[in-house]
Formats: sequence, C-alpha cells, structure tokens
Amino acid sequence: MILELAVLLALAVLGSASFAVFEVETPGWRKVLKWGVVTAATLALYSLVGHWSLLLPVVLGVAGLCFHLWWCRRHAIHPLRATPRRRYYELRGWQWVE
Amino acid sequence: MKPARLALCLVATLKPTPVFLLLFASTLAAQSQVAPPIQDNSFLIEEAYNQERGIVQHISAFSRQRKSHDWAFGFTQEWPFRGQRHQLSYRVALLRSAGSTGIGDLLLNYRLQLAGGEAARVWVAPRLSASIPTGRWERSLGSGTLGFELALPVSVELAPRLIGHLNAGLSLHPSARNQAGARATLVGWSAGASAIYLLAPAFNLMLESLVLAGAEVSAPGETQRSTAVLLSPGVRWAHNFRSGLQIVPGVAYTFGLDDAADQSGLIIYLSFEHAFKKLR
Repeated sequence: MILELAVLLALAVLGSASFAVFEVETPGWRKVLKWGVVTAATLALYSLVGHWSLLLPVVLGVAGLCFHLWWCRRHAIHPLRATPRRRYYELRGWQWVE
Repeated sequence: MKPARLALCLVATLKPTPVFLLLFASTLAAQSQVAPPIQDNSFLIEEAYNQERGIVQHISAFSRQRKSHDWAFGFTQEWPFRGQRHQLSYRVALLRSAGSTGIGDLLLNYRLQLAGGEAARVWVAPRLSASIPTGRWERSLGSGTLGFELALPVSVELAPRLIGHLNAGLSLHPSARNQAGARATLVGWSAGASAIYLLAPAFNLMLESLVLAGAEVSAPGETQRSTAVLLSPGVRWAHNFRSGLQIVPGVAYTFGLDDAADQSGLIIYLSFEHAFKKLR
C-alpha cells in the first residue's frame, strides 16, 4: 500500500503544482473531496486487485490530461498558464474581479 | 575526520567549478534580475518564514546514510491559516531503518509568525508539534507513543546577500517504546544555525549545522543518551514559472562529526510552491 500512497502523493503534488492556476476559484472542499474519492477508491481497489489498483489514478490522470489539453486548445487557453485569464474565467463561469 | 581536513572538504564542496556554473548559467542569467529570493527551503534547519496568504508549499526531502544505507523520505505540506500569521502543516515519513521499511511517525505542526513581515530583517516563528505514533515501534520505525515538540526558529538578514537562521528545539515522548516493547520517557533537544549566501536570488549556497541530543529506550524506565553534531554544505536553486509556480531543487552532503560519523550522507530536496486561491 506504500507504493499506492506514494504514487497518489506524487500525482497530487505534481498535478496541483502544475495546474493550480486553473483552480484558484474552486472551493477548497471540492479539491479535498476529489482527492479523497480518488485515494479511497484506489486503496479500496488495492484490497481487491493489489498493485493493479494503480491503474485507476494513472488512467484518470492521463484521461484528465488529454481532456485538459483538448479543452485548452479548443478554447485558445494556454495549457499551463490559463491565459488569457479573463477569458478563462468567462469559460468557467467565474466572476472576474479587477 | 580532523577539523582542518573537514574545513578543506567544505571549501572544496562550496567552491563552484566551471562545469557547476555552466549547469546553472541559464537559471542565473534568466532569473537573477527579477526572481524573488528563495525562502523557507532549508534542509536541516527550519527557516522562520510562514507561508504567505493563499500560497501552499509541498516539500519532499530524501536522505541516505552512507554507511548503513538507511534512508528517509519526508513529505511536508505547509498551509497558511487565515493569513501568514498562522501556519498549519504536516509531515509524513517513509523510513528504511535496521532492515525494515515503512511509514514513520506523523508530525502535525502549528507555527505562529511572532515577528517578521514584508521588509523585516528579523523573523521569528515558534512551532508546536504533535508526533502521532503511526510508525511501528516493533520495527524501529516509530516511538510508539504520542510525542510533542517545541521549536524556535529565528531568521535574520545579516547582509543583503547573507541570511542567518538559528534554531532551538525540545522534544518529549512520554512512555516511548523500544523494539522489545520496554517503555521509558524520552527527552531530547536540538540547536542549530545556518548561513545562506545568495549568489543570486535564485541560486543559494548553504552551510547548515545542527546538534541533536536524543535518547533511546534501553530498558524499562531507562534511557541511553546520545549526541550528534552534523555539518551540511549544500546548494539550492529556484525555477520561477509565469503561472506563479516555484520549484526549488537542492542537494547537500551531511557530515556527521565524531560519534555521528555514521550519520553522514546525501540529502536531496525538492519543493513545489504555488497559489491555491486567487490573491486579491
């Protein structure tokens, strides 16, 4: 289970560090809930299928990354900087405050 | 190692070679004019800068002892709580000790920014920690009891390019256990100091020193005390991204002096720091 926790931790740190700028207005509880569900599901799977449970966060991560790149390209948003920022806010339905 | 020989080693380690400079030339050239100084990224010594409002830091540190090949990986996450004055953090550890590998004790921390702030030269941030016994004492991975730590880090800007850090700490583990299950109360203390030279704002030379006075349970109600003196030269550098993400890698070699020679070894450090909410 240490391997599963280490991979989840690495994904959480790298994911949140790389894409935090896209989630600055997302409520904290939603971020915690998201990672809580992924962690709980992975550890639950571990008890059933062992290390194959790692496929869940890895597949979810790859799928999420592909969707992110496709969505950013479609809407002309920089995939790492979330710029132009005001347009990104409009697309997310967030209120822009100067 | 004799003091004179050790000093030579330190000088040799700290002296940048052409290859060394070449590796980081792009970082220096690109960031020396605009980059903010690296803060709160020491390896052995605690810096007294709490996290700024809306900024979270994820810190990974790996150390490996040269002789025993024991290693430790620590992951720390630091969060500001209602601004920079209060900080909450936790540290989880993965240890390899005496042939066993597993999770160590969990540390829950609260730090108060007692002194310091923008443009301040002296920063003080006392810390209170609870050590949760998540490590298995039967395998020497934990203390087997709830423990407490009190630490006092102080950071001082000694000169525009030179920062000093001072640490003092106390720890208490009531009724701790050894591998055989014997119990005794452990009291320890630590003191340390470091100097950080800002070769560039985004590239720092470090020299850290730490004295650790600890104890271990030797028999029911009895402890055996030991003291370790560590000296650790190292470097750290920052990569600042336009998204606001700052990545700070670093590397150091710790020399254990005299009786602590077994504790000599490599430290590899990696920190990610970024905003987690919009800064208005």
